[in-house]
Amino acid sequence: MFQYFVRRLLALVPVIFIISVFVFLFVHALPGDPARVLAGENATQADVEAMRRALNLDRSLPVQYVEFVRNLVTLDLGTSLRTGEPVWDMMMRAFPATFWLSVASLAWSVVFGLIAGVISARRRDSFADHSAMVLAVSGISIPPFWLGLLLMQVFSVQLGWFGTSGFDDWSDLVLPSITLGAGVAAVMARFTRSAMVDVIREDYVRTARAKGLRERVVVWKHTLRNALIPVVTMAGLQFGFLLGGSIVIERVFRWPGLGSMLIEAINYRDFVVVQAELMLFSLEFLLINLAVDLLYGIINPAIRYR
Amino acid sequence: MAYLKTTALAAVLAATGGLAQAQDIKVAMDQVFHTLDPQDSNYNVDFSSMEGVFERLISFDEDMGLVPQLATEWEANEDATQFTLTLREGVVFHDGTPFNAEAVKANLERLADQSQNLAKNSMFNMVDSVEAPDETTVVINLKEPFGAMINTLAHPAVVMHSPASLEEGDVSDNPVGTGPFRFDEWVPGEQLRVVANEDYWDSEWPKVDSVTFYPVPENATRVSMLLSDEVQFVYVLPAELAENVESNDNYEVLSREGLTVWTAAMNMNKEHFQDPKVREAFNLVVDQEAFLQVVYSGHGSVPDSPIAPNTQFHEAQEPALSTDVERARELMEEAGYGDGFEVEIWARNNSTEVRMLQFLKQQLSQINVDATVLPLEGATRSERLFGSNVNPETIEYDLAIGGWSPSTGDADWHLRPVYATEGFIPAMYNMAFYSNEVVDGAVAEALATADPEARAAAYAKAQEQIWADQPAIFLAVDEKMAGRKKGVTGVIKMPDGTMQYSHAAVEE
Amino acid sequence: MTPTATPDTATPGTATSETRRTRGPVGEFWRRLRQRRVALAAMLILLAIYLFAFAAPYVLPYGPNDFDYLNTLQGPSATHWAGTDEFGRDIFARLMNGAKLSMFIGFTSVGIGAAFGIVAGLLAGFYGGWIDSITMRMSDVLFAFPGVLLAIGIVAILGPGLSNVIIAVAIFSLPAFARIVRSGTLALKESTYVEAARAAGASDMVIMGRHILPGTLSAVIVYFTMRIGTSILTATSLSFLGLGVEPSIAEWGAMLSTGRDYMLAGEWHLTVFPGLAIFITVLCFNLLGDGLRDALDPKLEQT
Repeated sequence: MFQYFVRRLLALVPVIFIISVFVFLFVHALPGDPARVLAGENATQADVEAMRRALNLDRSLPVQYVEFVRNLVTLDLGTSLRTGEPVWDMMMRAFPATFWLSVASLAWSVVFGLIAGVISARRRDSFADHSAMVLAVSGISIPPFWLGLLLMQVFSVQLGWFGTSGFDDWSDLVLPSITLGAGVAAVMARFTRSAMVDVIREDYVRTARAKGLRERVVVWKHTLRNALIPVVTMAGLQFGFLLGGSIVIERVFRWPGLGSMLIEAINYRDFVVVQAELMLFSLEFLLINLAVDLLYGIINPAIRYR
Repeated sequence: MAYLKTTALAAVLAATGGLAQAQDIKVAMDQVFHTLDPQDSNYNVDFSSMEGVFERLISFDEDMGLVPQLATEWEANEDATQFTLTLREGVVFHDGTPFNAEAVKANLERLADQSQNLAKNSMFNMVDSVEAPDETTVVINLKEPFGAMINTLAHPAVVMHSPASLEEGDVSDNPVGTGPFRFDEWVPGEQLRVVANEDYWDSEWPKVDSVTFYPVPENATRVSMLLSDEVQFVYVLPAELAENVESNDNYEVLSREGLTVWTAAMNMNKEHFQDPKVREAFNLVVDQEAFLQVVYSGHGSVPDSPIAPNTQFHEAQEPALSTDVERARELMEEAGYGDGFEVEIWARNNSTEVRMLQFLKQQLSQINVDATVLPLEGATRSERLFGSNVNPETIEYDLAIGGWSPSTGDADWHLRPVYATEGFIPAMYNMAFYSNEVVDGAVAEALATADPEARAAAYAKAQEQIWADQPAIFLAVDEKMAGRKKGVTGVIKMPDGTMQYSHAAVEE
Repeated sequence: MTPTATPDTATPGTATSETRRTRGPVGEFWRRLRQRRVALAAMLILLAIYLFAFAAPYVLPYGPNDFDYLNTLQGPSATHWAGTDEFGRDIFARLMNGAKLSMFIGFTSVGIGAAFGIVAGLLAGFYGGWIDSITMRMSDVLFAFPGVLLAIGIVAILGPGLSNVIIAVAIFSLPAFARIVRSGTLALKESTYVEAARAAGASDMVIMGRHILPGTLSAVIVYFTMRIGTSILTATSLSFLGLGVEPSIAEWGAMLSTGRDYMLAGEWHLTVFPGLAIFITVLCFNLLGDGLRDALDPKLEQT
């Protein structure tokens, strides 16, 4: 198991290298000049040149790439072009907000998804199945910013139950996590349903049933346990997506997370921040995938790592 | 949990009322802050957030009239090459450093030193030297005449830093000024907080304990925060949401006619726009009243000059803009473009400018002009309009939408960058590539003197010429709007688009 | 459309011929799909929307771009069923025009993504080795990138506009198709009939095109249907960020996004109708996809 882990970790190195090239090219292919943007709307050409010198942006691309990689290796991510703040500090400040939003969204959507999925799979083609699936699928069918604004108008402005935006209190998590989790819940519900349906027909479930075990025990102990593997994979993938921060929802709810930070950095062509953040997302995603693979073994000890 | 307890306690205290409570004002702003050093910024949000922390030598009142702040008196020599200022006495910076002529000298020299690479250095490239003959007198010597100097000193970027903080180095995140508030905390992208300065030179102020700013780019969210009492002031209230704020008894809309004139510059390097008949037709076909209605929900006014009425030396021009589609068609016919032509219009991709684009496209179709509209994301637009490799001869747009607001409040900083030959993009903001000897001459003439009457005469001449030549479709003078909770006073929106909060107070 | 009338059309599953005697695979598919009433209803709603969108110009008194500055921001009424927007344009007419456009964006973007993804997945799965490694690493990279961000970047690089939005969404869909087809290919490559074809001297192209591809199609079709919903929503997000289609075009995402400032001002009809249109369409595509999956998956035969 340990050997497997190390081998998987090593296999990430070339992927990370490709990603670093991709990220660098992507960021520099964006039209727009940070010096120009940062100098401001009414800036004259002279102001822009002054800004360019101040930012050290007059160097060639290969030189900038080498510096980018060196910074990555030494974990010194440089400083923001816009505010001059160390990028590491910025990311550490924004990460908790995105992390807690991701956890809250994932938590409720996994619970909802599992329950809806199991009910649907148990009573396939019943009214309950159809209703649960239509409800779940509604979650990924609604434009997220619209849902977010609607929730804010109703629950914050009209009813005053929650704050509109920002992250000052745990209750501030409610509306954004509902908005963000709606899509995840739908995916989880559908996925659980189809995984359960697959497993229900397997021999060992039939055997369990034949042995006369109570239906509830069959469902929750034998079936769900085995259906969990694909479900956990999916949850892991979704968590990876969530941790990337949601640009749209974070903007609507003024959420001080990685998504807000990223869109701001893109708007100001703060390349240093954009690069660092994209690398972080990719890394998070890859590590979560790895973690999910390792989890398989815990859920189902029959799986052996080779 | 501890947090919840304290909030509950605070709620109880607030409900019982009797205790003296801390007065905090919270403000939602439409953009993130870039720096805390106004001398190094071109953004109104940065000037606004620091307005209470720093003071300028000369400031503006609500109508953009000059008022003394750290300087009590000022005078210029006849050819506008030497300016002498008398300073206020008894002023101390937040760090205890005394405010005096040496402090002013240090700041002005920093602004004039082109090697500093500050955003506002180029505004002071005509300064030759600054002298401090005594504690309260400062003399500024210029290399060439510059009649707009006093207004330049009143620009919201021209703040006075503590010389000690300048020596220590980085003032971009640790501002030390003389204002009624001192800097407390800045969490970029989240909030910025200033607290009362108990030692302020005017003992009457400040009247609130703190002011906190939140950047909230999403319009609906920003206004929602006001309507749910999370903030008491929304800076930049979109016109379409004004009615919503106004209809609620607890809130009010502040509205001031701005300095910004919105235009669609006609690229005169394109053959069709070299014909004055075509330019006249374009102005005739656009219905400015309808424009105001559609784009600004009726808030704003129709321009009567290339510069806004609140800008110094503004002169209303004749004839007033009118709409006459028939006449426009005739003019196009006479110019040989009866069947119209194709144009490309550039603008930013925010919702207001996107509405402008759609409106223009529809209006121009009345004279058979087929418009392709291009809403450009901010950075892309900057690069395509002001990038160093921009070539005026080959740049693609036919019409470019833009709004210019002279932050000095002076006609010079509108007419020169937008309509003089030296203003051609990418250098400044002349997107029409309009070049006229009379205008260039008048702008130069007005700078060569500090005599207001002579300057007024020169600027009148320039405005008249531009109005006759119509290098742009004149669209609107916008209103600077903000939303405020009733009972809050002294937080105001200025015609230049900045905000002032030094005299903030909360009525009981 | 009776089940017996359709089997003659070319179908993905024609590899085996004996099924035709009783009931062709398409007939079988129809039989199963008809049992899925939700999916069937979703399909009928989509068809109805689409047909009405085409009929709209002949039926409605207003075009999607008829400006009327005297009647801006009117609520729903007998003359304007869904009210008018800030330019006085009839929202219902724009919705109908937007239906065509949103479907077009959905189908073309996912279609392009699917086409490239299928080719990449087939080659990767069939040949393995370095082709597989490169394809899969590239798709890892694309996967690890937040999707909306990728779209933002592409639109920023290529500029805004309908075709670039389509390209952005297409690239965003590509890796998923590549993976689906690759895993199907890996399984089918070892199957007896592929080995038989190989033994009979069939070229790689023939094997891939005739024997492997059809076997992966059912998964592709299912994913395709669901992906259309996602692509419509991605286009909406791009509009929200100001990077969508040309603003005067009546596209749902653009309508919803430009209407959002009026939402708070009480002009709810500007957002509710386009929002519902997107919601219903995407919902129907998803439900249809769910139904197709159940109908196409042989394992799901009723027990």
